[in-house]
Amino acid sequence: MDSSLKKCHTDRLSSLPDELICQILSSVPTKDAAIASLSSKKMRSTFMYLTTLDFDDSPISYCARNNPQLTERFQNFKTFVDNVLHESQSPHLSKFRLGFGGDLKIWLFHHHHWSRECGKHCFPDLEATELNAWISFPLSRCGVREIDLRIHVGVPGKLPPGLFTCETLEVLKLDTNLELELVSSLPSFRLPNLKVLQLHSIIIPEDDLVGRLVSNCPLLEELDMDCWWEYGKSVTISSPSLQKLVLSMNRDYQYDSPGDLLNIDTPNLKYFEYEDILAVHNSVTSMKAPVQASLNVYCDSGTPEECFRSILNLVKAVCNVQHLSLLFSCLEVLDYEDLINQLPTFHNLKHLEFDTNFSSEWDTVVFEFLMRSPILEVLEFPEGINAWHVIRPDREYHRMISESEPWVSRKNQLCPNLKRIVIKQYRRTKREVELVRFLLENAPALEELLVICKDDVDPAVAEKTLKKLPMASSTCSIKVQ
Amino acid sequence: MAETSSKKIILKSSDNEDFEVDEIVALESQTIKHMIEDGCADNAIPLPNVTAKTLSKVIEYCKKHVDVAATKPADASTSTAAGVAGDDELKKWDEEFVKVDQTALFDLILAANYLDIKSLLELTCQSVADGIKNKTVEEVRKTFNITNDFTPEEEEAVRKENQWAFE
Repeated sequence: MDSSLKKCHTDRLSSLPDELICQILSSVPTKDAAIASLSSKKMRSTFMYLTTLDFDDSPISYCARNNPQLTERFQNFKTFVDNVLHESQSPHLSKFRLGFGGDLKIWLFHHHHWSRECGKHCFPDLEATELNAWISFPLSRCGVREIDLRIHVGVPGKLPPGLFTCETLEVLKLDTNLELELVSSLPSFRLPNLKVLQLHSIIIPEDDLVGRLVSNCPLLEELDMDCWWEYGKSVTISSPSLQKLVLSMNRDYQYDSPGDLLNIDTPNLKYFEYEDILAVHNSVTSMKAPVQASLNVYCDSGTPEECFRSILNLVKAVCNVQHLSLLFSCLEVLDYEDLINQLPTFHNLKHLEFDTNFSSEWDTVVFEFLMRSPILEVLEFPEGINAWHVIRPDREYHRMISESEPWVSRKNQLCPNLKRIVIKQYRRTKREVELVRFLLENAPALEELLVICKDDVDPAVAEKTLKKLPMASSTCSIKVQ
Repeated sequence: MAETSSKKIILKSSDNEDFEVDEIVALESQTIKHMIEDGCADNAIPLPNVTAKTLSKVIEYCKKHVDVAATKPADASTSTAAGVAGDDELKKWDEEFVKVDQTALFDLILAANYLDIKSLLELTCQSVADGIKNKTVEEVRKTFNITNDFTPEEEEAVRKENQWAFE
């Protein structure tokens, strides 16, 4: 920390043993190390022995059409990287990071269409041989543990497969538009020490590639995928060691096929985040002790029953979770007659989040979950409460729900442990007030209700209304912002 | 909490001050660990390269890290809520721990190196490294009192080679 380097009058840094100066310079981006190395000849001499190389030219977007000086800047970046790699004398390299070429997300969204904004032309050009030399550099040194590449080029070539046979690698992060063909056709992968694998932006050419990779990584703890799948019809991820899985499936949803299958066998997973727009048949092994799960799905195809079974399967697999988020159209899909019979109990659930915006009859689903979450402490509506009715516009939901069995007999007992409620995007509609009324009546242990109003709503007025509602809890504070 | 096996080790600083610590705390240092294994630890372990002032800071660090490791629930991995909260708290403690003046910081680096305490070495080196980030050459020289022994021509040549870094 800068502030801690209070005045000292001797050069303690230069008198450190070389390997410690090296360790210090290896703990900053290579750009900063280059600047610091210019401070004296001694510092300069240690620069050649850096054990971490971190070249980052982001977040420059190269819109070369509009900014010719950025093309020149990239030439300087190229010269810098070439020089440093050429001069590097360290036989040992522990971390290699290379980032240039701007943000690909905009391009990816328009995979089949040229975007009017940034497109291929906006990324820098680099000869394939030069780029491969850069990427392969860490593989030529001993002991590399972490490789992090964020590379987007105008004319993408093929990713060197050597990255996937690097036995010392523990962390591999790739965010690139380079192609995976050479990797896909490798007969085998050698990643016995890999703990973290992150794949962003990449196009996955064959469905079995990821499954094969994962089974060749016996120590894999984290898999983070936000890629484009060429097919994405039959995906299997099986790993007893996996602790964290982030899966964001992007595929061309015109491939509407009933045979789609998602197979997840990760019984020891602690953290699960799933984003998808397709109803797929899935087979998900029950997770023993998940901590947090987030389902962010939209069902673009399939019958209501198929969609329901698909999402329910996922919910069942994570039913031991402590923190659950049901986003996008989960509630709409789960609003199906069989929910009451099929929904499991959530014995460990302490924190529950709902997105109600894509479902008009979310009430039933919300209450079925509340009924089955005996130790729930925090309830959140981060995207607000959907006030639009489609089917029963004249019925206040709390009458609809709470005047029928089994709700009536459970009155005041629905949420015995609920301590905190958070409602965002509040608009002071009748339906929102009715929900708050119901929750206040049913949460005898409530400590805080936090309501965050939408911009055009006066918090003072909202607060007045809410504070008039009867409360089962004597210790609850209501905050409206 | 008193434990059944709390063997004590005596560490002697370069200025002849004795520090009594639990063996498990002393074992955070690989150097001391090897000395104990080699049977050199019957009396006090002399540490001629570490002053009392620095040694007491090192011991404070090792104690804290041993304590935190001991109170971690058995099944808490870094991805459980409890595990993360514990790690965050320790991180904050570490951040406060290295808020010392430059002299003390470099003394800690040398001590961590000599005593072979990897996490302390990483922490202290990163702290110095943070003082290098986003600075010009002149600022780096000033912060660390480094004498420039380049000729203007030599300096210009290196700058030119690394033009991108200086933009």
